[in-house]
Amino acid sequence: MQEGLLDARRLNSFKKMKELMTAYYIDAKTAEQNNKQVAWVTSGAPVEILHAMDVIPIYPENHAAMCGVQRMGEELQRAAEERGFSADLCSYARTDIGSIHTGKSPVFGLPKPDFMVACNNICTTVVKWYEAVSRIYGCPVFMVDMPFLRQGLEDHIVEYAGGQLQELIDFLVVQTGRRFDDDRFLDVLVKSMETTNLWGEILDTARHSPAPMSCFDAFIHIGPTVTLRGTQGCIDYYKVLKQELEERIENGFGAIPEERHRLLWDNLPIWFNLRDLSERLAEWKTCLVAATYTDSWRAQVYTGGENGLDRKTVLRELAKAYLLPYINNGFPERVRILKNMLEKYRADGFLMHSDRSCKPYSLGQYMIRDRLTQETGIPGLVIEADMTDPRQYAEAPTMNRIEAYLESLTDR
Amino acid sequence: MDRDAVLARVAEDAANPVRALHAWKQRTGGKVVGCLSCMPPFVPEEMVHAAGMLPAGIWGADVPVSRADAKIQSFACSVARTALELALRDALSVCDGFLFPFVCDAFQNLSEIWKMTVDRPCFQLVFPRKVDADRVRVYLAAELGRLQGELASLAGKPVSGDALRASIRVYNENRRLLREVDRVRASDPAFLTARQMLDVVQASCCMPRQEHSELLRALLASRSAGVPGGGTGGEPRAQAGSAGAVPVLLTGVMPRPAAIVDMLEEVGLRVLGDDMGMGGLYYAIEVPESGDDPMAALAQGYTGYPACSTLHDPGRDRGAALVRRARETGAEGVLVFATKFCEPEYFDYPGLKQDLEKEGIPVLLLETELGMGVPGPIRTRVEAFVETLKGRRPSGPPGVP
Repeated sequence: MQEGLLDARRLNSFKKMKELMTAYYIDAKTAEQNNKQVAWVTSGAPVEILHAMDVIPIYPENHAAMCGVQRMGEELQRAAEERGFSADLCSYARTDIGSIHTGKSPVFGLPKPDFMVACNNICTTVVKWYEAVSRIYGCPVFMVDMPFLRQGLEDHIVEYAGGQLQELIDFLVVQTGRRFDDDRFLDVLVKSMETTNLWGEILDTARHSPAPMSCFDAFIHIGPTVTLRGTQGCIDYYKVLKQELEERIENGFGAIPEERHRLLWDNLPIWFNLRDLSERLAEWKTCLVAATYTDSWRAQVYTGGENGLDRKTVLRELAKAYLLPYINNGFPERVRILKNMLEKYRADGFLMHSDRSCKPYSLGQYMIRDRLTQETGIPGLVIEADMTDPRQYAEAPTMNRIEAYLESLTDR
Repeated sequence: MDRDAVLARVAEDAANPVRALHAWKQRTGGKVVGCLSCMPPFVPEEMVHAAGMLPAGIWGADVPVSRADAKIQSFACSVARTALELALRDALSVCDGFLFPFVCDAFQNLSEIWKMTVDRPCFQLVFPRKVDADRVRVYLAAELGRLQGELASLAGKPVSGDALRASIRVYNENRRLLREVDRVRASDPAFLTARQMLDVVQASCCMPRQEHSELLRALLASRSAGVPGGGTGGEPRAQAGSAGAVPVLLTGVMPRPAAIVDMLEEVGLRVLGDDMGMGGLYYAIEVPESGDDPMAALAQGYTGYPACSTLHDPGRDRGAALVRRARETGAEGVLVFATKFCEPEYFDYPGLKQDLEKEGIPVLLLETELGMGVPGPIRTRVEAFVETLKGRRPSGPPGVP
């Protein structure tokens, strides 16, 4: 591979993150020997409850993204399509189902689940996907139903969601045969809160100009927040990363050699195109300074059960945190969040990835774009692609459009 | 009203629902609430009805999409896209408001697009996606209660518990009559073609429900009166009634476009029934009529549907239910109608196919799209399926040992 502009600028913490994630996968692979259970969980699942029960959470979404980065997506997706799963279905789901059937994977496959936890605060797709996987492994799925917030947190919604978290605890007690330890749970919550706060501080370093990290870095370094929040190793790692970014700020060292444009990114990354897209944007002196996707894990948990709260109240507070991800909100709230981010990160434009695989994130983005431009005067560009299916991405025309868009920003 | 008049009326309304709604509005001066869902079972029609308004089913249409392209991407299903197209062409001006019961991610986002685009009240019902716990019904009852307040503001008057209970009875009666019509069509090939059944169901969503029930009663009465096609000696009109037709079941969200349904009988199939959103699922439930909390009764009813791809409930096994039904009715195959880009149906399909084929019941997947006509390949595939089903029969003409 040709030496790129960014190769010398990779964060040193990357190596430490790889160690952390490798240890996690080894732990997961050897779960059975260590008398631990493995749960497949969605990226928006209330994982603190699982950690408190010593269950090892496995993230098929994360795995599919890795397959995407390693450019294994298309082969695995085809394997799922041959088994009747439509090519119009979510490419994460197809990738993972293909990986189960072929055994192919960048991490030698995921450990078999003892059970699964699907939370629809990110999409309904995950529920159907887990139903399909549960047929393969013959294991149960616990669904946490988090209603869409058409108008913020309404009381009956919080009540419903909080009550289901207690049901999740009951389910886990039956699955694991262990009792639920509230003190242990509160300890995990405190750690989780610390993790997501740290993650927020890390993302905030990109407010500086030049930004010490781009959201391409965030896409990679988000792994531990998603999978390991609530554990000490995760906190230790993010402290190291934060320190490295602060040093960069002191030295005026940016994520890209020269920063002319600062853009916001909306939606998931195009995993198979991360390197190429980041290199091209760096050539065009453009830094993606923030993304709604990576921001969704900021300060996700905001109760450590301080002041001696009872379990029901703690679960309600936790439910609120899990009801609030960006895409579980209506469009006016999304526009408000984007507007705040544009201002906070001093972005002069925004790229919206219309991700064919992700309907709740993507459908209607053109309208959100128009509304945001109308309210801020900042123009945005929507590009059509897919998070892991390269067959849905026309690279050359997309690059031409981005380049033309950036020229128009320069002319402004 | 005789049978032909009933069928002419439902065919007319099903083909021109908006015209039927305009006529109703002119006659009564009442308000129309356009209900956007490919899944009429999840529209709380009783509540709209109790508020003195007409709940009208808007399920997209067979129109090409041009204006909606700027607002909703091409990977949304054609039901969502053509519905938005209708609104942008001002073809839904008859509606005083719109109601979205969430059935999938695409319709959820469509409702948000709608709110930013269409200048009329737009109500959302965030339907639970799991149905296996009491907690779900408590949530749903609260959600329905919130919605009722919003509907009352459009109606301009509060809705009484008595009005709601009366509406529940009206809809229960209609569902019972629909189930009876469905039962007769399964046993009597000459009673209704699949297309006629679809017209009957679609017409229910653009006229007052009591009026629709009158039509159903007339239809059922005509059968015992010995009119042609009434099953008492009249010649079967459709090929579906002929001895060679192969009996099948339909499954999926909705049997549309209608032209595909017409084609099924032309190529030698006979439809015995379905479990579709715009079909059997729709009239499968009974809302409790007793009890003093009508909202709780509705929540009880709406979570009582049989297996559906849009709901998570491991206890309701769609494949097993279809196998059982095929055994009971003698259906020899199953056709899956999957609207292109429909995630819930696409995810269910591989498992459904496995479950049915394991029991020796062949399955054919039809990917359908509104606004695209009937693609030639679909006809060819159905014809090939008919041949396959016929080839599985013991040789010799049916009935000859």
